[in-house]
Amino acid sequence: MLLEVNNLIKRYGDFLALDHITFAVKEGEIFGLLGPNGAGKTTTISIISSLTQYDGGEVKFLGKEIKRHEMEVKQELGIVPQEIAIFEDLTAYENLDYFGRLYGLRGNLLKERITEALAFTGLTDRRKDRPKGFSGGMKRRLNIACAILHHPKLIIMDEPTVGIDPQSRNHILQSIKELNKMGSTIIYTSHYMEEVEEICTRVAIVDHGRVIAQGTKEELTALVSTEEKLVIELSSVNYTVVEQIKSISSIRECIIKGNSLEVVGKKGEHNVSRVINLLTEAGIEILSLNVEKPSLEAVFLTLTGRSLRD
Amino acid sequence: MNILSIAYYTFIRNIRDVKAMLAFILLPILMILILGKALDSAYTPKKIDPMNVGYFSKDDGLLNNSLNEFFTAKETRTILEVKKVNTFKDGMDQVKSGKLKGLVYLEKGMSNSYENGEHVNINFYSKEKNSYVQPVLESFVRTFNIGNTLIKINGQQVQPNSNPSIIKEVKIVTEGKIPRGIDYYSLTALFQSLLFGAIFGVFAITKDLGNHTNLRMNTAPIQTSKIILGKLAGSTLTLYGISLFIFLISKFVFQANLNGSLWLILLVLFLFSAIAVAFGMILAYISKSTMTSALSIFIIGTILTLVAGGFSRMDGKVIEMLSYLSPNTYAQKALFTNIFEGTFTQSNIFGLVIYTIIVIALTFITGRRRVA
Repeated sequence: MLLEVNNLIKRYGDFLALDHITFAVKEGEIFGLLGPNGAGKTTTISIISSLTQYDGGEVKFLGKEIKRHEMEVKQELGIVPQEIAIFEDLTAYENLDYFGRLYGLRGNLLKERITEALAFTGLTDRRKDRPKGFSGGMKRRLNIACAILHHPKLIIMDEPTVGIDPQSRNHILQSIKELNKMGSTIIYTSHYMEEVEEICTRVAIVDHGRVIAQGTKEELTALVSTEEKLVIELSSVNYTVVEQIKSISSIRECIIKGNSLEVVGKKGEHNVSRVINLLTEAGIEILSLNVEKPSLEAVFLTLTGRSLRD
Repeated sequence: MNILSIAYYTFIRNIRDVKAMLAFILLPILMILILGKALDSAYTPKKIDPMNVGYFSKDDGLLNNSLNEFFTAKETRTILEVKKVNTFKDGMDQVKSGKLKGLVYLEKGMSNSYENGEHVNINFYSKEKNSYVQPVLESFVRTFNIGNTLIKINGQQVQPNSNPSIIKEVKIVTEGKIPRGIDYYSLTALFQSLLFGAIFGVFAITKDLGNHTNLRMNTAPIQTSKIILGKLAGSTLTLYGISLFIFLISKFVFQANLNGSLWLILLVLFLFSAIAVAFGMILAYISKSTMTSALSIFIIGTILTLVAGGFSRMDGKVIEMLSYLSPNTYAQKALFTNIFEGTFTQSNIFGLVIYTIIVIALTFITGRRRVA
């Protein structure tokens, strides 16, 4: 394991911010910390980054307790804070030069890494400009560049897409995938379900300072999903067939929406093949068929009784 | 090396803050011009009429003879009209009544004591605290005893109906060098401005809080103490550069008399810049607010300048005691005595060094505590 967080406790006065949080991050994965605002994601990240002291439990990086090996661990971490953490009065190049030096990079190696980070984030052309004139997305990209130029073993990204346009968000998400392909392990926190679903290999759902569930997306959805929904677009709708579909014991409901059918039934009962057979036998052409799986949103809703953005 | 990087980029960021740089260069220049010119008359020496001074000596040796010669010399007579009195009491009575401005008194056997290598005093009594007779006597002592410190002038202030044995040391400006308004305010206004330059120390902390770069710095593999030291060094360098620039403007453009030891001037300005920046960093670490820190700097800086006589010379025991809480006092005294008396006062430099160490230590304590 690259990172192990065991029974982590953090109190702010009487408020228990982290309540025995436990999870582990494997080398090479994108690990998502998913939860609403105030769930404890940023506190967890702050502790891993040695920004905040903790009151109980342990955090180990490559088997080493971070409290005792703070500098050693910091050297291997790349932090992308939730806030844009760049110097507005230094150029993009100078920002990278400054932070690169703090991580011990010097000379040609530093220059190479700066060039690489600028190219990776698409900021090469703007390297001599100060971020004052940058768009929000460009600042976010520079924020990421500052965190990756020393080739950290673990990159921690705390909601890196907050407040930016969809195009920049896509660029950042693609960059994260690319970093992962290049071998980086990433912890990604977000309250945007779709982002976590898109990029994370494993997810821990955090709420009220506790991990309420963790695993792959499939493992998590399996925890709550007993039904599946088929959305079928047809050339025409035949009411007789609809009644036949409804009569299947594992089908709970079948709703007609224009030329489409929405069929909800129990999982694992071969509903798809049964419905397709009935439609084919009736000579109805199937234009498209989509099996909607339960989302992490549904998982969160089931586990906590509330929506992620409540 | 990390400290140097932080110092370098702190310096670069400071000098790119054009508004702040202009303000801290123009403010002291304007203050020096306004105060120096407006109050120049208060510092310009006027034509001096010879002062009536009594002389009584129980000594009949070398010192008495030399002092007699000194008093009758043509140059001395242009500023002192020395009248021998018959007794010490007679002389003191005339001082008290105002007939004489002062009384110079040599005790019996002084010359013998001096020749035996003992420490002797030439006593001078006056109702006026800042009588220029003392500098004249100082001048005599120097001439008489070049390089020898066996003789010293005892300045003694006489109050009507008071015990004349009460001795009070009076500050002496020697060799006729009296600072003009522009000389005085070139230094006092510079030090006041440098105190306000503590804002660079504030910026070094609050700007990083504002743009969240403190998060990135605190997650980097570098000790907090090195971050503090780097920021302190970078901002001190900025303020030091400004102080040197203003010093050169004062000296060469305003023609202020700042002809002291260059090394001493460089040292005092450097220490003072470090004190100001550290002071600003402490305020920023405590308040975490630029506005609160700036307001505190303005209030505290003004008080420290005031008690150190930065706006106008102030007398009084309380003020004198308070003045030692102000770094301006040590810095101003160190440079004034060097420039206008040609002497090097170790106590002022020592005071300034101690002050610097204390303030920097407090910066580290507050900085580390705030981070932890």
